[in-house]
Amino acid sequence: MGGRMKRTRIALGDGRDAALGAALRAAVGNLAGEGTPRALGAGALELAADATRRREVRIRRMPGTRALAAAALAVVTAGALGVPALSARRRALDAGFEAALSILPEASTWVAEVFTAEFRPEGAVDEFVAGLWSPDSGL
Amino acid sequence: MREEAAAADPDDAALAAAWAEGRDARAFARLVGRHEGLLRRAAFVALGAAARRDPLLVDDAVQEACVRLVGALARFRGDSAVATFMAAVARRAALDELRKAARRGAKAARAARFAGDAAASGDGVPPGSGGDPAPAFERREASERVAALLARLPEPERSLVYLRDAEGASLDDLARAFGLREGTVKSKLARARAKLRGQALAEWGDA
Repeated sequence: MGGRMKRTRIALGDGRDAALGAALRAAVGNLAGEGTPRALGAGALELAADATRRREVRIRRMPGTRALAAAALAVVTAGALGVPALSARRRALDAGFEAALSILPEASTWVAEVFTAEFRPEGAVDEFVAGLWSPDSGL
Repeated sequence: MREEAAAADPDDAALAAAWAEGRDARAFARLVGRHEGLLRRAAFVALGAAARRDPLLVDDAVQEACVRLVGALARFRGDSAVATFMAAVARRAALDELRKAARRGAKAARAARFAGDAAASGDGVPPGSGGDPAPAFERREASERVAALLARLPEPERSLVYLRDAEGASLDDLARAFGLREGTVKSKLARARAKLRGQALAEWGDA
């Protein structure tokens, strides 16, 4: 009885292989571009949130509007990436908003409207939003 | 409530709730900012070999994941760790980016873009690394070898073993996030680890 080896939990897959994990974490962290200028920065994201509040975005519970505002937020945020100085970030944020106008489909007519209270997506915009959040989108 | 959640240093669940219940944009921003690295790593792992051929795919996948997270976190019910849930969203976004890239046949265009970026930034050594480039090169080479082994695993084994062993995700969280039974997660983990060890021994066993 005492001589029998215990079954290792790791062999069954219900433990955690810390050594393997450390090697994988180091390799992936090194290659995944952590901290690159293109990465999303918390500061930039918070600025984006500030910006949305300044513009008094009212994200209603209507799925389309929420998703649309979300898409705009993400794109605006992406425009403010990797900019260290606060004032420069603010400018980048504004530039990001301008970029959003050209990046998203049909942006020229609707991205700006996201930042107003009374926006309802219609037609092609609605389809785009529905496509973003449809069950087929992988969520 | 929203002000309180954003003021201190709330945990992930509190931030997710502030976003889901109150649409607190600052809470959402803080949550995504906190897990930016995890999103990148999860996307990188899911992309497999494609991420090493085309690093811009990781950026695309992370951006897509951020867009999806706004909706996904709003629907999040707190039945698993927020970080694992976010990693799973990044993984799905990455797999979709991979499919889109294949459909578009954009490989050549992306390669050209990347070549342009590398040329613009000099010799390809990461900015700020300074000094002797040899250690950084060796570190990168070692990382490439490990990542290449990982990339040979199929999905979802690849993401499962990474999120479990490298990021410390719990088994039940992984089961929920991946829509698998816990027993299936365990067996896939065991298989993935065995494959990784076998491949490592085959490649480096004599070294």
